[in-house]
Amino acid sequence: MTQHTLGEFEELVLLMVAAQHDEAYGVTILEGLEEKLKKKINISAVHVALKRIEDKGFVKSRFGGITEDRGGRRKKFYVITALGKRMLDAQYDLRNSIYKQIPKISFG
Amino acid sequence: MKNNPPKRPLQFLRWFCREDYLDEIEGDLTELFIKQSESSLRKAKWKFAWSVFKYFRPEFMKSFKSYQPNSYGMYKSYFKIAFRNLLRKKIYSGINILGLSIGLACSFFILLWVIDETNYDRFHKDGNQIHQAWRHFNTGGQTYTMTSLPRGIADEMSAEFPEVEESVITYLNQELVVTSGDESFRESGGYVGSAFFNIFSFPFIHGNAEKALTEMTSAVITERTAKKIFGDDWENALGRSITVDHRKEFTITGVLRDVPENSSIKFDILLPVEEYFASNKGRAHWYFMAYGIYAKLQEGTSLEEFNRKVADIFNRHTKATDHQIFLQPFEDGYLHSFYRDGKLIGGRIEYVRIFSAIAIFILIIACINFMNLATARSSQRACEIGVRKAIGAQRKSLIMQFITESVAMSFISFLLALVIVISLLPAFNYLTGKHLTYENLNGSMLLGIIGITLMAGIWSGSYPALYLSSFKPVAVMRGTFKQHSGIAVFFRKGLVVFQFALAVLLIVSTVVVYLQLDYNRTKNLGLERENLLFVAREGALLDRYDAVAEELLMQPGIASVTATGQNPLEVRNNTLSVGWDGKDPDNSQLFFIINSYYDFTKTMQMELVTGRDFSRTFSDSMAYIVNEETAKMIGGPNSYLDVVGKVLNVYGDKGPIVGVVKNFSMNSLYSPIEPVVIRFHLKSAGQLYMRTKPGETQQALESLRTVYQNFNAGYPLNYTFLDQQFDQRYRSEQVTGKLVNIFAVIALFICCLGLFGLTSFTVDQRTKELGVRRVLGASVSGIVVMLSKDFLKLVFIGFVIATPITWYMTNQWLKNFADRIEIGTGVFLLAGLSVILMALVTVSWQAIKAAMEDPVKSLRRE
Repeated sequence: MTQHTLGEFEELVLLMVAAQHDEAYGVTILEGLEEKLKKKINISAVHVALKRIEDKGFVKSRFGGITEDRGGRRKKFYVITALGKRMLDAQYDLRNSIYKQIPKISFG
Repeated sequence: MKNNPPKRPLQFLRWFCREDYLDEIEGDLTELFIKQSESSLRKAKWKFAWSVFKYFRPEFMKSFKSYQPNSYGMYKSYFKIAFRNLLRKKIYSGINILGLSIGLACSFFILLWVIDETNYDRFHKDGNQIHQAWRHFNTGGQTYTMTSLPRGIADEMSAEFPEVEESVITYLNQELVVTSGDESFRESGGYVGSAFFNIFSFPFIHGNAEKALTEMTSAVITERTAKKIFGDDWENALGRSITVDHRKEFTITGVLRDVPENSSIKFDILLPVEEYFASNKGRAHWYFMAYGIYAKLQEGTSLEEFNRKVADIFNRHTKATDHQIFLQPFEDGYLHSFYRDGKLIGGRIEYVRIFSAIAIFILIIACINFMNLATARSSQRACEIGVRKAIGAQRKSLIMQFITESVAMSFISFLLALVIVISLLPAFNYLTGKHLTYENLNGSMLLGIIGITLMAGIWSGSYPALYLSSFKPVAVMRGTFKQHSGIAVFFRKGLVVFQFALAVLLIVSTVVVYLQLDYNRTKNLGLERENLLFVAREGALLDRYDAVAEELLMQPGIASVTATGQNPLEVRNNTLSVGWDGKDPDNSQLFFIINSYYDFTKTMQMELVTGRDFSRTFSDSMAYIVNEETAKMIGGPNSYLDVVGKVLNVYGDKGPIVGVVKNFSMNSLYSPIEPVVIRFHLKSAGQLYMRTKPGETQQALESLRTVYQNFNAGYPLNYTFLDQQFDQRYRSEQVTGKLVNIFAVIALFICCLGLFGLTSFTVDQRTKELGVRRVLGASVSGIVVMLSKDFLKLVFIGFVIATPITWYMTNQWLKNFADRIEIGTGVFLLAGLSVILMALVTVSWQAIKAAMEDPVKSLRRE
């Protein structure tokens, strides 16, 4: 198990993939992220991130059927792998553990 | 109502993006675009374009490196497929190959001819230093340019200019009677200076170039002459003696190799020019201009500068003002010898250019054929191309494949063309009067020929290759592949138009050339040139003319006899010294002089406008006959008939004008008719002209031979018929006419071949459609009309385009002739109709065949 790192945006994308489970592809991920983050993202950024996490082995992809909507182009669906889930868990645990260490002061 | 994503960004994306990502990326972008375009189309477009741009990153780029497939294996497969295709569609392949081989064969013939023509006079060692002297003679408002010069030019040029290494005086193209023992032969040749062999390279078999013509009694002959005179013993000809013209003995001091075919200077015997001057006093002065003068200039001399210096050499020594001397490089002389108004306007080089153009035209037509047929057949290859591309062929490989196919076909055509050329070479030689052989084919020429073939193959194959390789495999497989619209079809139609335009051009040119030449041949030259022959006045003919003439007239078959010094159809002899009472002192008109004797106009059968011929009944001592031009000059344009009786003074000899003869064609057909004076002067009338009775030529020749036996036993009879000589002079034009004719027919044939191929293909494509039409009730003629209409439209357009261009070009050529025909619209209509007719026949043949086919059969065919 090699030490892959997960960038911030990549993590967000990975989370979205996991959340949409089996229905995730470029456009849905983009729309989901835009809704959550409340800002405009370019689709290219999403695809770059998807490529990277796929290369790292955190997601698997498969091709869907052809529909007329996309000018005859197929959709590529992404599903999170076990490794990816473990990564997310690890990240979550890491963030949480440090978060818990913050003293209970009000930060203004 | 779906919006499509903006085209350009999409194309760009598809160009750079990796195939394995393209699906997903393009799909996502399209989906987003559609969603966004519902609110704002403009924004959606912008977003799309911007996003595409953002995708332009290394991760998403496709690799542009094209991996080279196994080259050897690929080409082997290309050839295999090429040959299989060829064999499968024998008709189309046959048409293509036939058309291309004919085109190549024509080009090869013309190439051989052009190489021969441009190789004249190139065998002299110091060729680039050799020049010939010419003179411009300005008089009477015209400039005459000639090569006949006085000997003084050579002498003074050598004396005054150190750049002149050598110069030589020549007097060639003479017929000399050579006697050895009892036998006499007639040989052509003449007199040259001893420096001749220092300038020109005519190799000696026996004898020494330096010493050859230094003695006054030396003579040099060619190998074939030596064999003729001395038989098997010719190798020992040196030192033996011969008699020339029955007047003097000469000793052979040299035997030369025969003069090669491609030399503009031809001879079989050479005598020292000094001997000529010694025996002919009075021909060495500055106004006796009859010699060819050549000079060898030092290496590196600037011709322009030298010509400036030498220009007034004549004027300086004669106190004249009207002559300008210049040198022209000898090697250029054969092709560039035609001057008008003092300017070099061409010569044989015109023919070289015309034929080269024809060769290129025909080759272009053949190549266009090839292209058209290949692209037309493309839908049959579409499946193959689609599969190849789907499997992964690069566009470059496909292009290579198709170019290989066309190169293979052109190679086969090349072989066929070689066969054609080799078998038809004798016929071609006969036609052009040349002796082209393969000896002339050296390495560079062979390379040139192969190069042409290769170029033709690649060029013809390029367009089809590009076109075929651009098929979209998906469209092909799906069957949505359309071929009946678009640029390709337009291009194809354009090619047909261009082909037929060229064919029309060639046909009209042929007709025009033929008409003009025919006009030349048959037009009234002002004299009856048939049944007229001449011999040189030698021996008894010279000394005892009257006796011989009387004898001849008593023989059967002979109508009349006269003596004349100049060929009436090509008078060169000219002078300014013609005077009459009342002549304007500023009149510097050049007059052409014919020296003649009794019965001149009678023998020539020229028409006398007024007055009479030289005749014994009047016992003329010095008298003149003039042509209408001279009469008009003397008596004024209106009262020129009154000049009879006026006294004329030529060369100082005064005499009355006894007759005015109608203008006859005394000059080349390229020049206008000049004033002529016919002078009663037997001494200068060097030929005997004889008119034979029509139909009795054989008897007349027998009579001539008999009289010759009696009077001129030592002189071999050598007569020339005037009409044959006339035809010979215009031989180049004749040959041109015939060749253009042949090539026009060939061009038309190739065009129709192409049309045939295209039509049969179109018909093939539309078999089902035709079947349906037939079933629905269309008549055979209706279908034929429908199919033919399109093609005929193209041919017609080609005709329309060709007409103005042809009109212009043929008029330019006709301008060369002083007396020319008018090109009427009839010629063009004729050409157009014949082209359209040929096309119609070609197209309708296929169309009828298709229309007549049983509709059941054609519909059943899958």
